Formats: sequence, structure tokens, C-alpha cells
Amino acid sequence: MKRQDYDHEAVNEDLTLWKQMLDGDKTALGTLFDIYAKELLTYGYRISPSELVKDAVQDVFVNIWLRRNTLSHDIKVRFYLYRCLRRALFKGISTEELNNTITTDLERWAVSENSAETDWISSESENHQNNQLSEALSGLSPREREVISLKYYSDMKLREIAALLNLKEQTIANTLQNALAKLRKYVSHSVLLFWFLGEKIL
Amino acid sequence: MNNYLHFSTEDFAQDEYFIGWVASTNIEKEAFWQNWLETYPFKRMEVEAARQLVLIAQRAAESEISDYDIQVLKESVFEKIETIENKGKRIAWKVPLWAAAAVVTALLGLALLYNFTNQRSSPKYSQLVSNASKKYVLNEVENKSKVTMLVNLPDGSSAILRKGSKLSYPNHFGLEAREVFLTGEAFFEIVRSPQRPFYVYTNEVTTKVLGTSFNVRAYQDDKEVLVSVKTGRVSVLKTSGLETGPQEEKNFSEGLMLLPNQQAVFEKGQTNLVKQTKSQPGQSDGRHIDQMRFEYNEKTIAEIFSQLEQAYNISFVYDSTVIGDCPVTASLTGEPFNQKLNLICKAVRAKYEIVNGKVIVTGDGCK
Repeated sequence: MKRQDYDHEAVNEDLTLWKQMLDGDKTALGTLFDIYAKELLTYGYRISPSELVKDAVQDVFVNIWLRRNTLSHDIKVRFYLYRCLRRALFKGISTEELNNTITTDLERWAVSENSAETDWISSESENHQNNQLSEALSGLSPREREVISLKYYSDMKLREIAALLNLKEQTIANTLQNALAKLRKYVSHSVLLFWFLGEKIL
Repeated sequence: MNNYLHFSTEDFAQDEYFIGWVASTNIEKEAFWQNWLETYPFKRMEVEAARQLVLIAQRAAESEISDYDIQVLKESVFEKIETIENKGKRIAWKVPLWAAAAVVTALLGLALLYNFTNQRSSPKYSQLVSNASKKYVLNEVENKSKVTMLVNLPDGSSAILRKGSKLSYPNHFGLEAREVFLTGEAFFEIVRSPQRPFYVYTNEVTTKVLGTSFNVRAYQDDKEVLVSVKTGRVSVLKTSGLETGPQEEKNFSEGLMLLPNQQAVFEKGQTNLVKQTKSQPGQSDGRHIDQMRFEYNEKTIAEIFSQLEQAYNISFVYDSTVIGDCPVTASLTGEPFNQKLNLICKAVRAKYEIVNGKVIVTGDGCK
């Protein structure tokens, strides 16, 4: 379950759970998992080949539990989890390898899991939309995809993204600007015009 | 507040206040932007393009992850932790050989004594539970209401608990067996996992399955215990002692093997289980879940959800004008609740979430 707003209250709630977990409360670990699993998986799928992601998320939660005696009591829980996942994913992968795998992976995702379960139903327009989207995505560099994901799905501020990626804030701002310029090509003009006229009439 | 007058499309798309407007239905933000657009109508193009851009970026960042997958992953996290922690214990148990031998002898003595005292009466539910709580952290659910109650188990299986019944189950199941403890009556739909049999322990009878649906009736005050099968194969054995866990196959060869529409009856005070064929085979759609069939041929979402509401006694919240008419063809009899939802939602490209005991389903429709 993704939180709608990551506000002050949520930060405090996380920290309470975190401290309970450090004191050996397994239920608190479970609750942290419930809050963050989906968010972390989504982020993971955007930056890494999918077969690695579930294992990496599993490792993150297993490791914080096993190492709970050595972890700090006062951290930004959400940021820490993202950083752990990033480390778990990039451990042992070269950037070049990553570039290749990501593209093939996105292509697969775009056709939207043709498993036996979904075979029975398919919708043409959905596929068309997905194809366009995957085309848009494959035009982005891995870093651009990651920044887009952190900004528009995880709602992180540029400062936080910069800290997570160990880059300067200005670099992130440039990356974002470039990514948006590329995505802009896919804003359909006909739809735009329609909207424009429609709203004027109203 | 920024001075938006000189903003380009990309600038808008990066602005937090603007993104907040696109993503939510906040009235204050809505009023601000409507007002702003009336003041600067020539910026409409940029604003609309930026809105689309934000939506594209958000869609690009999304991913299809089902609650079911997350549940499975959660279980694997706790399994892995358990495995590692148990390994740690084994290494820590470095005791001198003579001491170990003494402990083994003592345990053996205890075991003999234990078997002796328990040979006559079967263990009670409360004894089974207190014994099992040495091994697991157990949750106990008691259905005090007048209607049935859905319990989602950690492996994604479901149990539909009848009124006055109690079910205990661990926070997460062990690696070799999934064990639950029941007094009263429940209908089970079990996720298939041949490597990890599922056991239902009651005071008189133990039921073992690999993945199927079946009903167990074992009220404390009833004269008989009844296990009946809806789909798949089920083994039933007299509960012998408190020691639970993966049972030897040869134990079960002394028990009964049940097929669909068969049931085992165990009369208290008797030593044997009796196999019967159910008088009414579950062909017709009964009112209770153990007689319902979930076979859909071009059925609409509205019809399916209304059947599931009745079967699991849980309410659905969804927009019937959007997805109510979507047709689904599927064979879901015997699938656990979560798995049913998962498959139906995949079929119509919808998503579900369980919030405050209600199933919330959202989707774009299937036109």
C-alpha cells in the first residue's frame, strides 16, 4: 500500500515501528514490510532486471532484522530502505549489463505479462497505450528512468534523490529536465487540442 | 508560491504544487489552478501539456504488483529469517557429549511417560494450541458473530470460520508444514504446495492436504467429528498426541483418503473413522460455501462479486458502471479467496485492496 502523503506523522510512525523492530518485535518488521514492500518493488522494477528485484527486497528486510543490534535508532526509515534496496540491486551488476537488461525487461513489461492467467483476456487499446509508453521509456537512460520514478512515483524531493544517488542536486535537476523533454514527445497533440477547445466551450 | 507566469511546460511538470494538483482532488489546489488559468488563459496549452506529462511520468513509474505477490514475498522473508535463526541455534548448541546423552535419555523418559498418559484420551484444542505456541507465535481468531467470518492465512489460503468456532495459526508457517488448530467448524481453501502439506488439527482428527478445499466440523460438544471434501484429495487421521509436524506417511496410511463428495465421520468414543459418500453431491449451488461452485462462463463482475460477498461474507466496493459489466470466464472452485480475487482482477485489469474488512476494487473497465 503506497502512502498518499509522506508527511511528518508518517515519519514518526515509521520511527516508532523501527525502534520496536530493533527491540526484537517481529510484528513491527511485518508492518514495515506492509507499508513499504509495494513501493520498494515498484522502484526496483524501474531500475533493475525484474528477476532480481523480489530477492533484493527480501534481502533488505531479512538483513535489517538480522543486523538489528548494529543499526542506528535514529534514521530516516524510508530513505534508509530505498538505499538498502539500491545497494542490494547493484551489488555485482556492471552498469553496462544493467543497460542491456533494463531495455529487454521493459519490453517484456510493456506487453504486460502474457502468463496463462491473463491469456484469456486482452484489450487492444491497452496494448497500444503500453507500447507507446514502453517506446517512451526505452528512450530514457537508466538514470533518467530512476529519477522519473523517484520524483513521480515516490514523490521525493530533488535533494533526497541527489542524496540517494550520491549525486549533486544540480545534476539531478538536469537529468529530470532532459527526461521530461524526451517524454514530452508523447503528449498527444490531438488530445491536447480537444481538451483545449472543450474547456473553452465550458 | 512560485511566479508561474514564465513557466514552461517542463517547469510546471516539475513543480510540486502542480504535481499535487494533477494527482489529487484537493479543492484548494483545484481552485487555485482554475483561478490562475482564468487570469492567464494563454497559458492553457502549457498547463494542459504539463498535466499530460505528469500523468505519463507517473504511469511510466508504476508497476503491476498484486497484493497476492506481496503476501507471498512477506512469507518468504519470515521463512528465510526463521531458517537463518534456527541454523544459528544449532551451531550454538555445542554441549559436551555426555551432557547431550543425558538430555536425550531424559527426553526419552519424558516421551514414554507422555505417551503412556495420553494413550486413552485425545488431546484437547487448548492443549494442542498451548503446545504449538512453544514452536510458533500463534494468532487466535474466534468468530463471536452470528455469521461466517473470513480468515486470510499467511500463505494466502483462506478459512471461512463458522460462528462460535476458533482457529489458531502461526504468524508465518514453517518450512516443512503449514499447521493450524481448530475447534468448531471451518471451510478451507488451500494454496497448492506439495512440498509443504497443510494440517488441520482438531481434538480428535488431523486432516492433511496438499492444496484443495474441504470442510472440518469438530465442535467440542458434538458427538462426532466430520471432514468433507469439495475438491482435491484429503487424508484424515485420528489425532494421536500433542506432537504436531510433518507426519510419517505410514501414519496416514492407517487413516482415510477422501475424494470430492466423500466425508469422514469420527464418533467420539469409537476408535475408527468411517468413510461415507455425501448424500447430496455438490452439484447444485448451495447457500454455504462448501456447496458453492465458482465456475464462470462469461459471467459479469457484478454477478461474481455478489456471489463472493455471500460466500465469504465480506463486502465489495467498486464502481459498477465502470467494471460491473466486464465478463469473466474462469474456473475458481477451490481457489483461496485472495487467489480468486487476484485472477478475476487480472482478467479485467483491475486492482484490489482490502481496507477495513472491505474489498475495494478499481479498474478502467473493459471497453
